[in-house]
Amino acid sequence: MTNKVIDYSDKELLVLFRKTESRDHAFNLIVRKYQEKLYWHIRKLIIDHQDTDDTLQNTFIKVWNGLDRFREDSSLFTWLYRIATNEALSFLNSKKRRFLLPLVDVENQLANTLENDEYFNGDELQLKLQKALLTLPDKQRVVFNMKYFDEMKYEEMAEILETSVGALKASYHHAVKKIEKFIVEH
Amino acid sequence: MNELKNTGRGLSDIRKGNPFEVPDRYFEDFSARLNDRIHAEKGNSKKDYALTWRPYAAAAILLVVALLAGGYFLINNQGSKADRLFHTEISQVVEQELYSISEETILEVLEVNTYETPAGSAISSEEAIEYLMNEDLGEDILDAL
Repeated sequence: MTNKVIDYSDKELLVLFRKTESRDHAFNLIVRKYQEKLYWHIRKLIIDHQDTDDTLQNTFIKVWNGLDRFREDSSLFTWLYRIATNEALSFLNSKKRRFLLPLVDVENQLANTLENDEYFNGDELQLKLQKALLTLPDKQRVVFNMKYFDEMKYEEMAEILETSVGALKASYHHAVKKIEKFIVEH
Repeated sequence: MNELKNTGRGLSDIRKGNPFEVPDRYFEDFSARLNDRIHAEKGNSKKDYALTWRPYAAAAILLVVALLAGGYFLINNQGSKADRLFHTEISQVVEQELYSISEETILEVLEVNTYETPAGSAISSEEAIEYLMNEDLGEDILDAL
């Protein structure tokens, strides 16, 4: 099933989606094709599995509602990543607002989640890296994750995050410096 | 950790693999759960739509009723206003005209139009009956007198 999904190009999936009779099927294929990539992208930002699940569902609901208006100015992959990133950042912002917590408390809360998360299987250094990441501003964390873990090209990232390659390079450089400092100090 | 502190090593020493996991069959079941939610939201959005337009419809009906009632009141009110205005204007005109007529003229007119019995011409009842008899009135009328 997975191989069949991957066999369809994004263009083919979009053509299928635009036909009423194959709309549901095409959407299912899009979900199956991108659910894992988007899940991990969101999970690294939100940390908690349940919150990630909610955010991923919200992302695909937005995709379902907006795919008719998708004009293919960017690739489907870029568009999906952009929606997922925005949803994740919105979730984090709403969490901060909802609990009226200062930034540092949200970081501490997420760090505690990491330590007690039954679905976190990293070693001590990986846990330290994740805690270091939580000290970064959310957008810088996005940049670091996309470059370091997903190994994306800056040009791709620039398209998804709608910013310049230069700004991304600078952001990643600062993120690495802060993380290394955190690791050495803790 | 201490090793990292001492050597000053950083990111390159950390295993790059994904440290997170998901519950069993999470990805296999995800699209089915998503479909359920999308269909549930479709249903809710229809209900929401119905719930959304009903208060607006009620408000619109109330507004129409209020406008009709207001219009009716306004028209009636304007009519009575016009009547009152008309009567006021007529009174003012008559009053102004009366001011322009001198009292002497009024008295003169009243004197001319007042029926006067010529002085010393009082008519007795016998004379009246005689007059009426000469006028060929019927006997019934004469009896009634």
